[in-house]
Amino acid sequence: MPGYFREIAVRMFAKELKDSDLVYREEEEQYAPQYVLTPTGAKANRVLISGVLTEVENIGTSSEYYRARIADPTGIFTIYAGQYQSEAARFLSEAETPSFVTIVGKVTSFTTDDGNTMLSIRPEYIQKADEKDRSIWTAETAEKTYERIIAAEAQAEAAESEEKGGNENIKNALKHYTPEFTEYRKMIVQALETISASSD
Amino acid sequence: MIDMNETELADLHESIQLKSSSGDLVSRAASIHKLLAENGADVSFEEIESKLKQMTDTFKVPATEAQRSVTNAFLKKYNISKTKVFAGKGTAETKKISEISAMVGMPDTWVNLTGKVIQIWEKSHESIAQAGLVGDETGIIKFTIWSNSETELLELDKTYDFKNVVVKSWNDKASITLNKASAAVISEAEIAVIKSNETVGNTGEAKDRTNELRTVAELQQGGIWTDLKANVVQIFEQTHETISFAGILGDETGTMRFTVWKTSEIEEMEAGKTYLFKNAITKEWNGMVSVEINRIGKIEETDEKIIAKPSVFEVCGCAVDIQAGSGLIRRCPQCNKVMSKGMCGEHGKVKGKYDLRIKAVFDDGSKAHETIVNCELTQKLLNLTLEDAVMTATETLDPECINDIIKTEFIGKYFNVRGAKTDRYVIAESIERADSVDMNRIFWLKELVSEELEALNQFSSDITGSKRKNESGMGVEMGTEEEAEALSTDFEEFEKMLSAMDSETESDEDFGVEENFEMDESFEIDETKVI
Repeated sequence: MPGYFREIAVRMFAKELKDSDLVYREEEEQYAPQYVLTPTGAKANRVLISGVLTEVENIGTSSEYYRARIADPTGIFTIYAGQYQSEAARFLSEAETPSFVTIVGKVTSFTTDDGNTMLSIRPEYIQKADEKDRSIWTAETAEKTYERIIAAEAQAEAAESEEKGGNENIKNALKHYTPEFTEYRKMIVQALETISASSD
Repeated sequence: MIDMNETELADLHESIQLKSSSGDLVSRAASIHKLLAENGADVSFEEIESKLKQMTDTFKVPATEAQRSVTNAFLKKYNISKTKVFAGKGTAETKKISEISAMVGMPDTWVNLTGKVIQIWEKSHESIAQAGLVGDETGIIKFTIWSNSETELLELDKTYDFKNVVVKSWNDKASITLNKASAAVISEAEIAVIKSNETVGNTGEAKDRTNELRTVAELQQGGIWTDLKANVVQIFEQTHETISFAGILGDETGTMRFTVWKTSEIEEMEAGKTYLFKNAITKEWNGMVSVEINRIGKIEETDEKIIAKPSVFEVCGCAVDIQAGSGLIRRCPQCNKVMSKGMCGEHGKVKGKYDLRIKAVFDDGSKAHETIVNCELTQKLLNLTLEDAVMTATETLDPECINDIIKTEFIGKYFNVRGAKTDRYVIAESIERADSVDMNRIFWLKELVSEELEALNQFSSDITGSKRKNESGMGVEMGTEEEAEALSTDFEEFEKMLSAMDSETESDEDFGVEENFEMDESFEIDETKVI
């Protein structure tokens, strides 16, 4: 597929996104895709999230601009939708809370005056979901996150004896965050608990 | 996703098992026991075995993962450094270079070998102290000595006994690296290095070498030298001057791409005929394995009838996009191409015939699979006939309305997709909603992570001198309960922490939003171009 690459919708929990503040573009040009690198080494431009819509607010002044909160078992995703996401904005304007939703969207960042990086999601799609969809997503996200932890730990271990090689993303994540993987293991277990407690 | 992963793990497991001696549970337990004993940890064989059994039987963890996990859990428990252990003599096997070259694609492994330095390359990077080639009677391989390895540099034409070097895979080739734990000692033995003008990875291959005859299904990774009897299903149009033929071949077990390089001097090949491919090598690129015939490869036509079985591609993914050209479309009655704005690209203004299809993207978190769903399957999935679709579109005066239905039905939902894979698209043969989670899998992941957490807790409480839990004879239930208890307290704290963090950032967020909003338009322009 020369010249064509579709960004993978990365699976990550809210806590991991919340802990992330390394945002970058790989090329200088204005339209180059923006990525966030998370503590476990996921490089995400697009994400897939499924959770509970807990709050919708129209915060726009001249036109409609919605802010919504989506809860997963580990925390909150914040999403913003305005005139350029008309379908998502329409969905949010009519949506009930709480309700299950699944969102495909792009990670966007904003740096506050005091230098904090705020991450939010700009939806490409928002769809009604159900508990089953949420469970599948939670299980899948737990697995993907665990795979990343294992890979990152293996590389951290290898790095003790060597400096070169390995996955760039993991290397940068380890360097930037010095992540505490115990915390993310707890997050995974916590997320998985919700499945056994609620379905089947 | 879930099935796929299991298959992948099983494949990986199998491929490792094929290559490592530690096949069954008992020998895995024995190797862990030996490893621990060498490092001063007195753990009974039975305890190790029962832990392994618990992992593989109760939690359905693949055996390699079980071995890894059990090993690491014990190492953590006894506060033994992993780096030290795996650099230890016990784990490095002595191998010939041809065997090491065959380890391409496997996780980094420690080995010992004896080899003669036949080339030393110019220094290319300050972090590399020395690089070059070593050889023995079976092959030649690249070596690298890192600057921080504190190893003495090697001398040309000397034979060394290499201890505890790491086999790494890079670009489909295996190489060895020397690090802090490695040693290179000048060897007494003088060894003959294989005579070959081939480059690394191609070492010692000649036209008359013999390979195992394998099937397509057995060639699922790069770097395998093989013979292969297969039917040429399709030959692509010439794509490059260095390629004689490229296309698809297949046998009863599946199909795969092949490339015959000009260097092979093969001049004839016909689609539909069956050939014996000799000295072929598999290459892996972008997750696809193909087979190549290069300078030392040859083909022989055979009369045997081999019928290629089409490869079935399966994926479980979430529908993340419905692409343009989905829903109700019109095709040119002459060439069947999809029309745009009432025009056929080739035949101009024609009265198109209606068709229904879906171009969906199913994303499994590792790859985005563009999938084409034909009319028949689309009608079934939407429970809507083509005629009804045309009628609905006419009534609403909106041909896009079918697309809206498709989006609502698909986006954000998980599907099991089966079909044939082409270069870019999956041509769907069946699509079903994935409507349940594999509770077993969730359970074992939870147990696995909990166990790792427990091991970490154990590790830290050992350090602080609190009493060590007596683990011997620990049953499944008991362990689970204890873990659950320990974890639930953790969670309470964790949640408190989370909510504290939440409320902390809340005010920041509110503050940030106004700014964000003002900035929004410029942000939008940025993002819309990114696909």
